[in-house]
Order: sequence, then structure tokens, then C-alpha cells
Amino acid sequence: MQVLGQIYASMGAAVPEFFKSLWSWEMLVAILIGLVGGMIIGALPGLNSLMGISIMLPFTYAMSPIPAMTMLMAIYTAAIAGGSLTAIMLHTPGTPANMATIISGYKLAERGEALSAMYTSLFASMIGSIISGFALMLIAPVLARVGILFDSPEYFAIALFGVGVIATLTEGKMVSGFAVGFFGMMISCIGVAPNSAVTRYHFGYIRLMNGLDTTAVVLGMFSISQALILIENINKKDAGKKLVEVEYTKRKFLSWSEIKRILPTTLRGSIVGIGCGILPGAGANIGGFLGYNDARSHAKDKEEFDKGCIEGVAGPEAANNAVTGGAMIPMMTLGIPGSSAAALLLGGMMIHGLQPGLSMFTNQGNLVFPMIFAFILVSVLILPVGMLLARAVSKLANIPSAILAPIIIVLSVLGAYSIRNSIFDVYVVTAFGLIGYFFRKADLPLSGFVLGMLLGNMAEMGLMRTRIIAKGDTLNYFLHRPICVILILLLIYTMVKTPVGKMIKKKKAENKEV
Amino acid sequence: MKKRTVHEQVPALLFLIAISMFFFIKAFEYGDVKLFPIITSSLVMAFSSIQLARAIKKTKEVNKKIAEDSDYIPAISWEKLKTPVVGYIMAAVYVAMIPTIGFFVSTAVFMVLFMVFLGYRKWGVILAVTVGIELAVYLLFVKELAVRIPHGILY
Repeated sequence: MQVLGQIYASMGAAVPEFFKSLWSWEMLVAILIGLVGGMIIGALPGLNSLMGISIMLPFTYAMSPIPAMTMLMAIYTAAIAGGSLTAIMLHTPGTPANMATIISGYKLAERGEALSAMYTSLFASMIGSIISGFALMLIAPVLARVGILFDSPEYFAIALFGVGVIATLTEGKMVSGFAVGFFGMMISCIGVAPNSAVTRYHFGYIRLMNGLDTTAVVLGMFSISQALILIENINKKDAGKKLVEVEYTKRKFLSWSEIKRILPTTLRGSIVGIGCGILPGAGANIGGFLGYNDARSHAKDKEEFDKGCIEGVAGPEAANNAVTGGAMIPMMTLGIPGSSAAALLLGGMMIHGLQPGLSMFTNQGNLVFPMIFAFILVSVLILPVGMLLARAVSKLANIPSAILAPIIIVLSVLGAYSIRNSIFDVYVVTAFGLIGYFFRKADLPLSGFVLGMLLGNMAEMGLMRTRIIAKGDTLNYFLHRPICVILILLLIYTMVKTPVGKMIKKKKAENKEV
Repeated sequence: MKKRTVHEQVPALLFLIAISMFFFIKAFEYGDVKLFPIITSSLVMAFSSIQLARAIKKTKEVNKKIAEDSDYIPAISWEKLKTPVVGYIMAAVYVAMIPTIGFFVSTAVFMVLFMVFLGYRKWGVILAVTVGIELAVYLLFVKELAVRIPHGILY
């Protein structure tokens, strides 16, 4: 408590410094470049905040610390918000964090409600980012302590919980959902095994020893498959057919009733996202899926939800943007970055003379708090800047499929190549494009596969380490860890809630009939 | 004689079973780190087999539908798959050509051929889109983001 008191005192003292730095050209340009650049980078498939930050990092050397870090943090959060726009319009996630947004977002776009979906995504991104900024500002030391309670067994339990999420995501087709989910986990076995020097399934090919890049796999599964779906029914007569119809109404934004509808989902998603952010390794990709899962589990009419609704967009988008502030909590308080992008931000902070740790909040509060204030300001600006971009992105709907399909393929190829400047990733994107196409034809849920792939490494690492720590008595070890028990109970609850609920409803209906 | 087909899930599930079986057998070569691939591949095989049994049952319904309705085109049929398969082959050839003739040249050729293949004939638009994409890639990826785009024998 004493530490928190000192931190709040330091925060108050930093307010004048923030306003002083805000009214400078350097700061305004930093915010503009960070926001617009971040959103464009995020919207382009294959490019993400990590790349944006690494490109802009050298430019910040000559800048003052507050504008420099503001620009990098703006790129970090704006890229994730920008990525949702192409996810909704093109079924192509701009960044891997936007994968869960596709599930509801693209269905809305197909119904002509793309603009509504994009506004929802931007609104939720803004709220998620703001809340995570406040968490970073007000309760970072407390949350950081929660984060370090998580060890290998807990990570394994989170991965198991993720398997439960696959079941929720794929309700109604749970068997096929599990089949592709575990297929994703199996694919994650390619490359170096965790906690070991053994390389698996590489067939002597050196590139495979590093494993498959998730972004390349996702681009193939979602984007190339989308291009193939687009051209499926094309013939010479309808070569000029549009991708989706977008209803351009006079309404400039979401209605008040829509905002009220998505607000609870957005707030819950934000909390889920902060939780994912403070756990190193969980990240925005998993955060998005957990946000979607939360939104779906709170939906009154699941069938209606599965047809695509704004809550299904708000949940994942609030969560993946909240991960940004969440990931900065362990980064600033403990020096442990919660994501790869946060690791680069950490480097940027150290270049500017900031030493991560709790003492940074009191000793260097005049620098840290203005940065956090600026992060919150940037988060607020996501909405207006994003709305301008959304209008432009929605014009993609006017492009005929015959033109859009090759553009999607070229951008996916380029995006995959840009990840590591490797032609191998281009082959990966092409191969998984075909797999994704046949999976979609077979109505096998791609989201389950991707979540499985994301969780695979975490699950295996958690399991292997726990086996070593537990010295053979793994189950007993798990059951003596309170967080593990809670997570496993949550998993059981998630798995049985819907079938039991259906059974109870059926019973009630039968009793009424009698 | 009426053509027969399989339910759309059958090929995908057979693929899953075959791949997981391969992963399962291969896993035994990996000593201490074989556990996770064994568990996951077994689960893939189990769930895929259950689903395959269901899909095979549904195959009868699909074939019945074909017999009853002459206009019905099943999901797994050449009529339905022709354009995506040819399109995919074009994309695969494009990707294979990138290291040899370079990204820019192969992209230009691919984009023009792909649009023409899909029946688009407005040559002004085709040219504008192709040049526009090449220019955008050059300015954004090469100039701004410093991506080392692969160059081949031509450019």
C-alpha cells in the first residue's frame, strides 16, 4: 500500500510534465505517425506491431523520451485495432491478434453490416486500450505480483482451458473442432522441442527446424483460402461481381442502444485481455480468442450469436487491445515483457535511460507517467482515426472479386515473406492456403485449428517442465496448485455448461408438456 | 450413369488421419520429447475417425440428392472445384517462380493472367491495378519498410 501511495504521489507530480510535452510538435508528430502508421501496418496482412516498432525504433534515438515512447506505444496498440478492419472486410486478419474477430466480423460484412462491425471493433479497441492504460497507471504493481504467481503448471492449465475454449468456439461441431484443434497442437510440434535440443519433423530441412511461423500459417488458412472461395462461383458473366455489399447509411457511428449492448462485453473482454497481457507468452492472439469465448458464453441466444453479431466483434477486439497495456505491466514493473512487441518497447525504454522496476514509477515518474498518459490519449484517438480508415477500407467492397482475389494472394505472399524475409514462409502460406480451403469446404472450424496451434507450444512446455518439477507425481503436483485447480474447474464448467443447460431446458419443457 | 461423390468432409478428414498417423509413428523416434506429439496425434486420429464415420453416413444422402436432382452440384465435384484448383495451381506456379524471375516480374505476370483467367476483360483496369500494386509494394515495402524483396534474373 505504501508503494502504491508513493506511486500515486509521483503520478500527480507528473501531470504538468505531460501537458508540457503534449504541446510540442515532436509529440504531435509522434502521435500522428504512431497512430496512422500503426493502423496501416496493422491492416496490411503479415505486417504487425512488432515490425512497425522495430522499423521506428532507430528513429526514436534522436527524440525526447516521452514522444519517442508514445510513438512506439501508439504503433503497438493501433496496429491491432487496424488489423481488425481487413479481418472484417476481407476475411484476412491484419495481425494474428485479429483472428477471432473474423468469426463474427466477416459474417456481419457478408450481411452488408461491415461498417457497423468496423465501428464496433474500433470502439471496443479504444475501450480495451484505455482500460489497460488505466490498469498500467493505477494497479500495475499489484497485477505484476499476480502475474508472477503463474508458473509452468499454470501455463499448462491455461492451455487446457484453451482446449475448452475450442469446444465453445466450435459448439455444434465439437468433434470436428477438437480434431482440427489437436491438429493445430500437433503441427506446433514441428521444430525444436521445448526444454530440449531435439528437432522434430524437419526432414533435414533447416527452415523447418525453427518450426512453422504462426502468421504464415494463419495467412494461408484464412487469406489464400478466402481468395479461392471468392473465385469458386465466378464465371465470365460475373467477373465484375462485388465481394460483399456494404450498406452506406446516413448513420455515422453506432447507435446508443448498440453501444449499451456491447459495453458489458467490451468491459469483460478488456479484463480478460489485461489478464492475458500480464502473462508472458499468452499475448494478444490468445487474448482475442478468450475475449470471443467470453462474449459467446454470455450471449443469451447462442444460435443468433453464431450467425454473427457485434458482441462477437467487441469481445475479441477489446481483449486483444487490452493485452497491449497488460503486457506493459510486467515490462515496466519487473522488466519482463509480456509479448515480443513489449520486449522491443522495453529496449526502447532502456535506450532512453529508463530502468524497469517498481522504483522507476517513483524515481523516474516524471517520464513514465507522461508516457502512460499519452498511451491513454492515443487509445482515445484510435476511434476517430480508425473511423476515417474504416470508411476507406469499406470501399474494398466495391472491388470485383476477379480483381480482389489476386490482390489478396499477392498481399498474403508478400506478408508471409516480410515476416522473416524468407521464401520458405511463402511456401508455407501457399501450402496452408490449400489446406484452409478444403477445411472451409468441409466446414471444419479454422478458429479451432489456429487456437490449437497457438496453445500447442505453451501446453507442451508447461507439461514438460511440470513433469520435471513434479518428479513423476505430475497429477498430484497440479492438484496442489490453487490456480491450476481453479483453471481446471473453469474448464470443466465451460465444457459442461452448455450441454447441461440444454438438458435442463429440455427437462423443463418436458415437465411443462406433462 | 449418374456421377457419385463423397461428403465434403471425407477428403479433409482422411488427410487429417493420414497426417496424424504419420506424426504418431514418427514421434517414437524422438526419445524424451515424444509424449506431446503422441498425445496430440492420437487425439487427432480419434476425433477425425469419429467425424469420418459421420461423414461417410452423410455421403449416402449426398449421392441420393444427386440422383434425385439433376441440377444439384455437390461440393466435391470438378464443376465446383475447377476454378479454385486451377487458380491455386496458378498461385503455386507464381510462388515457385518468385526466386527465379523475381517478385515484381512474377507478380505482374500472375496478376494479369489471373484476372484474365477469371474472365475480367477491362484491360485498362487490369493494367492500372497491376501497376498500382507493384508501385505500392515498391514504395511501402521496399522504400519505407526496407523489406528485401526477392529479385530474380529479370528484376
